[in-house]
Parts: sequence; structure tokens; C-alpha cells
Amino acid sequence: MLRRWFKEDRNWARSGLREEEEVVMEEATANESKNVDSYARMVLGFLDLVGDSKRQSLELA
Amino acid sequence: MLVLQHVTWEGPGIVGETLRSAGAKVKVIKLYGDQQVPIAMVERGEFDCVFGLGSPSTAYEPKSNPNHHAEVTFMRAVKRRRVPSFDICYSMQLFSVANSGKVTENPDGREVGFHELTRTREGRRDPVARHCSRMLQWHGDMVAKLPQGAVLLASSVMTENQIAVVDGIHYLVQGMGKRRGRPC
Repeated sequence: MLRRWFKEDRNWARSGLREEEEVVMEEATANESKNVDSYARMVLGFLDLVGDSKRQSLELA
Repeated sequence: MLVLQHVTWEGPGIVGETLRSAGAKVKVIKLYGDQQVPIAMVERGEFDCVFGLGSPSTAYEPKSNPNHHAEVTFMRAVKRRRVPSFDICYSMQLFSVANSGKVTENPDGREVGFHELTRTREGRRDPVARHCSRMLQWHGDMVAKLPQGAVLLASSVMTENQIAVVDGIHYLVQGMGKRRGRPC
């Protein structure tokens, strides 16, 4: 259902804009190591926060 | 840890790789298949945290997602039960819609490709947002009003609400991580 909607029902998809955007995305990620590193660090920062939150919950319990 | 995946082509990507490298036990719920939105599991406290991935659906158009109402209930449960969450792109928008925020089409148009972020004072000190000054974007909608009590952490030129945190544990992240051809 989602794929059908995505491909057929959105004006920007019908206009061919999606194909142009896919090219932009591919070019943008041709050298993606910087993005991978910084995004992964964000996720790791979040995991640290989750660990702290869990420890605090256990201490309160 | 729970990962909510909406469509086949927007998988866990960097998030999944990072979780695996950290040794996390991860359950991926594939909502495009026959799996249900795990509201009861969140209510029972079965997950340490939740990662919500992107989708081409529109958060303010319930008809664009067959699970819209269930996911809204899910996002409210995540907030009420204080389950830490990392909500990416569409999931950020849905979390906002579910929790007193507002999502609209971006009047400045679609934001596609890598864009620089400007972090707020809070963002520069934040344990999550301080790591990211540039992010990959692929969206035409935006969070026009953050949930009540949210703290804005970073903006781009086209989208003010790029990264925000709610209650100190719910991270709303408009941009995505990506492995080639596979946004997450």
C-alpha cells in the first residue's frame, strides 16, 4: 500500500522529482564516511544516555 | 532495544550497525509486513529504548500510513512511560504530532542532500547533538511546532527544527544516517 502511494499518488513522485532527488542523494553519499562517523557518534551518545537513564531507574527502585 | 521500520527501503542502516557494534540486543519490527505496532510491549516495559525510522508517509495525513493511529498511540505510550527514543525523520514528525506538536509541508521546499547544522547553545553541550554538525536530508515536511517542553538543539537553513530533545530522553532527529542507497 505504501509503495503504491509513494510511487503513484504524490505529485512530486509523478513529476520525476523523486528520480532527480535520488541522484542528489547518491552523489551526496558518494563519500559518506563523515556522515557515518558523526551519525554513529550521535547514536552512541544516545546509548550512553539510555544506560544512565536505566541506572537511575534501578537506583530509584 | 526496539527498531520500528516502516518501509523496506529505509532500513536500520548506520543505526543498526552502531547498535550491533555496541553489542545491543535489537528487535526490528517491520511494519510494512504483517507485524503490529508493539504498543503492549512498550506498556509492559520490554524495551530499554526505541528507534523510529523514516518513511515516505506524511505525519499529518493519516491515510498515508495504515498504522497511523496505532503509531500515534505508540508514541504517546513511549513518552508517558518515559522510554528513551531516537526518532528519525518521519518518526520525529509522528512523535511530534502525537505529543502536542505540529507538522506541515516545508514552505521553503524539499530539503535534499547534506546540509550544515547550526547547533544552539544547548545543542553544543548536549551528549547526543554535539556530535553532529552536518546531516543528510530527504524531506518535504517539517515539524513546525515541537512538542511542549522540547529543547531545540540544532537547525539548518531550511528547517529550524532539525534536532530537539523532549523530557531529556526523546531525541527528535530530522536528518538521517545512510549507507549508500539505504537511508535509515
